[in-house]
Amino acid sequence: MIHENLLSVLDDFLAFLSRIHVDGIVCFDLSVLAMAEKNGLADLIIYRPGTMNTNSYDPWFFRKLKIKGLTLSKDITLEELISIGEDYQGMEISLVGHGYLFLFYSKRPLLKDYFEYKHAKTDFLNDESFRLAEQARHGEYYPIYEDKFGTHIFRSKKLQSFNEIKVMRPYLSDLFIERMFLADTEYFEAIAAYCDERLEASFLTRYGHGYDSGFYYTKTAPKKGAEL
Amino acid sequence: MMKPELLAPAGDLERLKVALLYGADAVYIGGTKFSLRSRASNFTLKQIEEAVAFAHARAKKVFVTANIVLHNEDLVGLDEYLSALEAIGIDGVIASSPYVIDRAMKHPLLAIHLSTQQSVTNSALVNFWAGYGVKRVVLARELSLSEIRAIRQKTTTQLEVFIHGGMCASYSGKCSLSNDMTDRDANRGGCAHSCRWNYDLYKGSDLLSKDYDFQMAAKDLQTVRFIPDLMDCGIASLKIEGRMKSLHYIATVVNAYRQVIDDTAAGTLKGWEYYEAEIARAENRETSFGFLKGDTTPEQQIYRRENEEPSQDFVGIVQDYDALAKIATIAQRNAFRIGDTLELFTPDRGHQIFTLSHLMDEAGIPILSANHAAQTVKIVTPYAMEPYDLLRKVQ
Repeated sequence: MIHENLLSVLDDFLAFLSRIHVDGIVCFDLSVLAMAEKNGLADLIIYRPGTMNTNSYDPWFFRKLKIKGLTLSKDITLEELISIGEDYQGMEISLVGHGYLFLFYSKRPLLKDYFEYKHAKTDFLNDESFRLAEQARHGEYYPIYEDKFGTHIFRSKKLQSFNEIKVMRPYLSDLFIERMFLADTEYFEAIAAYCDERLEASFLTRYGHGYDSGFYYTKTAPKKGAEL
Repeated sequence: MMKPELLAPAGDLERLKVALLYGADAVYIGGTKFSLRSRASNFTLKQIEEAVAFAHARAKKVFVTANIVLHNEDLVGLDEYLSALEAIGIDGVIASSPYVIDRAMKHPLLAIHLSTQQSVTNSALVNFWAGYGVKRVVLARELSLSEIRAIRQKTTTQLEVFIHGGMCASYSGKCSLSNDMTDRDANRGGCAHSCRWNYDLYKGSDLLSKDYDFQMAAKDLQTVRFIPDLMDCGIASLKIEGRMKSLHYIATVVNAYRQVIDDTAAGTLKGWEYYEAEIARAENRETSFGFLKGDTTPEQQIYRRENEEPSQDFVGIVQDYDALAKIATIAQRNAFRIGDTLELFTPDRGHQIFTLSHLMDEAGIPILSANHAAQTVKIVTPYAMEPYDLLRKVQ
């Protein structure tokens, strides 16, 4: 998230990206678009907020702002993703389809605060080895990671989309793979498997136990007790 | 010094009336659709109409939240809903989804406020949304006072800042813990508050925590001491969180901040302890000043959950008063009995303390105690009372 003191840094970075002629600028925070507009770079922006871009109107809205593309929400079903793809095809649509997807982003330094509370001296910054286990969810370990911008928590399972991507292919310009917490071999083999269908089975045989299908087939309830 | 708007939550009509009577300049409410806070008892269009009539008769305002992150299945009916809100004459709609914002713009009488669900953290984004037609931006709760001041200096758009109530551990709108752990959609009103659960922390396979004592929960926000600075900044609206809070909580917290704002403007501030003690009577939850002094520390987190049971001080609300007989009709909310020392808490007539000597049931038959839930009773009182006055037990 871009706070006021980072606006000038962002401005300089956008100018740099413009000078080197990057093909796109993926952003989590809409502030990047706000600053890119001022610099005439809106047409490079790919807006990827994670929780948002959940309905068929969102691509229309952002097309008006003349951005390059939109990454759909990680929290909606395959049926909803297809529906959005079918409704509009004049803008680059992308998906985060593989790896540990984030669940939570806090400005609070939760690891730092916890170790201070416990009077424990533990290195934690930018360390990918921490996991959380919720009291009632045995065997589920959620990666937690702290950097200088705050604390991030990720799903306990990795997402894979080998089948779903075949269905979504007509609508997608890009498939993103999340790199964090993946070993190099697993990461490179995933890329290879998405590029060559014949490698999918061996990938899943080797790594499949840690993967699931995210929200592709899980509909979340809008309210407590609501019918799904 | 200009007084900012004091904006209070309301989960139903009774709480809305109490919020406005006890000092709020405006209230925000949710309809039965398109609004977060699913467990708050949201308003029907007919109730919104009554709410607006009550508020406007007192030169006060009603804003309606339509701040969920919409899925395709949620798009249906929005235009009709916004048309109805415009016809009723609400003072603004609080939105986060581009669809709601765009559709609301088709209704020229509806002012659009950008919800904190968009987590706006800088002036560039405030001005971006203002340029799009948004009238007011609710700033993210993660901002320090100096950041708020810096943003204020770089925009002419109305800014709204949270001053009291619950805090998400995450940036608002950036959390799916509840979605993942419970299949309840945090961004469509289903949040299960997974950030308030107990966790163990591992580094690799080493357990670092003990008995699930890793917690993310944040203390509630309480900013009494920062109100003069926020007023000096030129913040348009000071917002209290809590559409699911009780009537007593709303009355007490609103009234305390009303006094802080008025006393600041008049240069007659009492000691901070006075206002903070008053607020502390509303709810037994730990509080802190959030991010207003900058990055948070362990002091802003909850590690050992204390008893959060609400105070039993609040015993009833006045429904009617017979000035000749000096008898008030009370809707009981917590048990009380003859001999108790009670405090009459009013919106604008101060506080009075008396010992209860005469208590009757609804038919006027003397009783010793009012110990049935929601019982209607009558009391003889030495002080004149009015509907929506509250009675609290003095411990």
